[in-house]
Amino acid sequence: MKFDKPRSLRKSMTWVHTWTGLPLGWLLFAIFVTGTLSFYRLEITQWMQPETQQASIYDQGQGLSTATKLLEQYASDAEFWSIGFPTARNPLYQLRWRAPEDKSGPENAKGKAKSNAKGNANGHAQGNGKDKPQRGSNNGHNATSADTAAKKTNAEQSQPAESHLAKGADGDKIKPQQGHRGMMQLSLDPATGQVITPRETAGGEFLYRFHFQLYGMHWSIGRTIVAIATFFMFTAIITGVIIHRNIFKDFFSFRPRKGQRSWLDAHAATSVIALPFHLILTFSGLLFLAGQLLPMVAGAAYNGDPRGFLRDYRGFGAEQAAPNPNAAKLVDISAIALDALKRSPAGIDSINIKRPGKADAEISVTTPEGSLFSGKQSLASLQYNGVTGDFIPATSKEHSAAETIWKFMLSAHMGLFTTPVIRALLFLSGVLGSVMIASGLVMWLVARQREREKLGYLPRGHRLVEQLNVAAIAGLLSALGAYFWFNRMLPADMVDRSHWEINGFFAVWGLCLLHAIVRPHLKAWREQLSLATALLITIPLLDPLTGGNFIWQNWLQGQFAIIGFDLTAFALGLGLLYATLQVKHKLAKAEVTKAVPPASR
Amino acid sequence: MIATRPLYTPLDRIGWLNTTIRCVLALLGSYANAVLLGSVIAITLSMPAKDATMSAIMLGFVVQLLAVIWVFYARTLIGAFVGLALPATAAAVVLHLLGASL
Amino acid sequence: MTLLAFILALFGFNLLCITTGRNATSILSTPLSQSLRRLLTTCAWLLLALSLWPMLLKTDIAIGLVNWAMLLTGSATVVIILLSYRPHYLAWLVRPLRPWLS
Repeated sequence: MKFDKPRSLRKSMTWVHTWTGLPLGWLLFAIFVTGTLSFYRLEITQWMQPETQQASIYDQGQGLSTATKLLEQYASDAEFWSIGFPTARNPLYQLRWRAPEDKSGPENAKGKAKSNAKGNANGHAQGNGKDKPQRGSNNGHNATSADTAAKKTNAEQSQPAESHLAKGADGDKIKPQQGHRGMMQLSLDPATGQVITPRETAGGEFLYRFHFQLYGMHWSIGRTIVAIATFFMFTAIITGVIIHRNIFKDFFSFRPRKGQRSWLDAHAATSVIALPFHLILTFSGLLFLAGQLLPMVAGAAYNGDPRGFLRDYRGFGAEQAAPNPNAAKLVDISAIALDALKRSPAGIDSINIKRPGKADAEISVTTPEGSLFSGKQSLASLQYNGVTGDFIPATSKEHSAAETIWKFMLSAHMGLFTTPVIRALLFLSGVLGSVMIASGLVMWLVARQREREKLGYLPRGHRLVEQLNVAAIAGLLSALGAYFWFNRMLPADMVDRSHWEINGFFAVWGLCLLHAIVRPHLKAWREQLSLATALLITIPLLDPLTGGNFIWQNWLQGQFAIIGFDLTAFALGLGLLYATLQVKHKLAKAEVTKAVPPASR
Repeated sequence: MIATRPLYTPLDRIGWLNTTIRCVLALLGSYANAVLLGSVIAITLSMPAKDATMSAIMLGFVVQLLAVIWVFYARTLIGAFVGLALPATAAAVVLHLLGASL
Repeated sequence: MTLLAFILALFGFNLLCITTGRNATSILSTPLSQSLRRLLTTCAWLLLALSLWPMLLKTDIAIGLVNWAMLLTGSATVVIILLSYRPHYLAWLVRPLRPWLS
């Protein structure tokens, strides 16, 4: 690129597009793929916990009274209860509570059927002071290694019996599981009220968290890396639009099997077709991570303290009333549920109780009514007094244009309030975006084929791109398949199995990188694509053979999420099969004609 | 102040140096502009602090993008530099005058 | 409602396809005159804009916009797949208009 010569805007922007796209394209592909999967993270977690599939079609039966009884039994002195109602995306009642003074207690992870008193004593002793529950620095998994170390050194070790606690003190083997952000959880079958203990797995949550804060590093480092990558992506998209002169002429032409022209068409078409999606999601990604990139701007209006902005944003008042320590009996939850159903015919999403059993208990019922502005998850919520059961009408607030735009972007990104059709379209757009990135990465090499022929050898930079392409694209997809396979292959009551599933994911990805480094380019593609195809296309078979049901059984039971997962994995496998065959075809052709020998060999 | 003839410097002529300098300018200058201009916007907008900050963050990212595009569009290195330095300096001066802390 | 918007968008994109010169030949047997092409292009854009309206009937503008954007993506995907592999299906979709096209 000769920047000293006069050049058109288009040429400069092409250069910028290439060099913002390529270096971070490998990471961005991973971010895009995990993000696309995150739209269905609840369904993925469901699939990865096949024990939940024994629950029949959800209904709001006697689950609620059992839920309350269980919470009173196991979480009597917790500060916060949450009862998640069964929905189409999550067929079980999910009970969650935050055990007091024990914000992230993986010591409890293997479950104590004993009362919380013992759990509290242990939690107190371990004294885990390093976490910030709000910002979710731990998803229960990152903290585990440090906590395990703390656990081992603690003299007050009454843990040796822990591994035997799976059986539990009471006969019914109820063991609360470690949830996310230090919460304990139980799952109930809504039809029978029975406790179901799914296998411990990170599920779709791992993919979701990886998407914006990577893994294996402190969350702020991961988020900063993702934030920088997001900005590069934003630049790449906008420069891409600038370059794309014939935005509709080219858009409507996709000429398959014409070599470089086809790759360019694929890249352009997938980017333009889903352009609104790419723009909204990339820009909102920047807004999500603005705390990492522009904290000074966030703090500028708050005397340099960005936390002031966070507090304002979340709607906390400057001071919070001191908690009332007096005990008071919690009102009957079923009555609250009935009232909430009257007010919100769309149904109930969850009932959350702050400070149950105290005089200032508050109940908030979230409903699936879409609203950009209320509450943390932006679900509309109805507030009730926890002791008297009185409904507290919400005070409406004015929202500025800036806040509307902001919240709109964030909600669009997270796919809140989407119907199943729209969610599927969001997923499709994500797939298109991933194809966009992958085709861009491959196109970089394809476009320089003539250069390589003129040179007569393969430059090291090109070889590096070849290796990273294979590892980042085919390797990631293989690792994904392996993640699901590990989920089914590892025993359900294995200790720390969620860790091992994630380790398996990264191990396979790492092996793919090594494989890509040593193997010749096209052969590496063929082999890794074959691996990914094999792992994904067999998922509809893996499912019934390892604890799930066959597709027709799922259909009868109404487990559409599981069917969706199986079929999507199969479709993805089919796509990869097509790609594998294309590569095989190309390899066969290359053997026939003399290929340019690479210099390093 | 627009030069009628582009002001080339010796640095411009060396291809790889030209490119490298532009990359550095793009990385640092766009970020500096985003932060400085964003802070000015956050402080000077007459909306409540929360809304002003949101607007400032959104505009800050747009500014950062425009700065990157400018660096690579400018004909000379001097043009690229001045295009970044002018808004940044102006913003820094305003911030100083308003007595704001970053 | 979503279906209606989808159909409108589908037709809109389809018309856009037809009017761009390179592709017209693969869909229709005879090329179009300049004025007719411009008219069809305008109609196509109008159809696309119109497809927003059914999306706003049930939900508020924010959610409606997102849904509309996704809808455009979905219908564009359908059109481009048909265009690349089965262009004559697109011709079938505009069969009612054929008397005016010749």
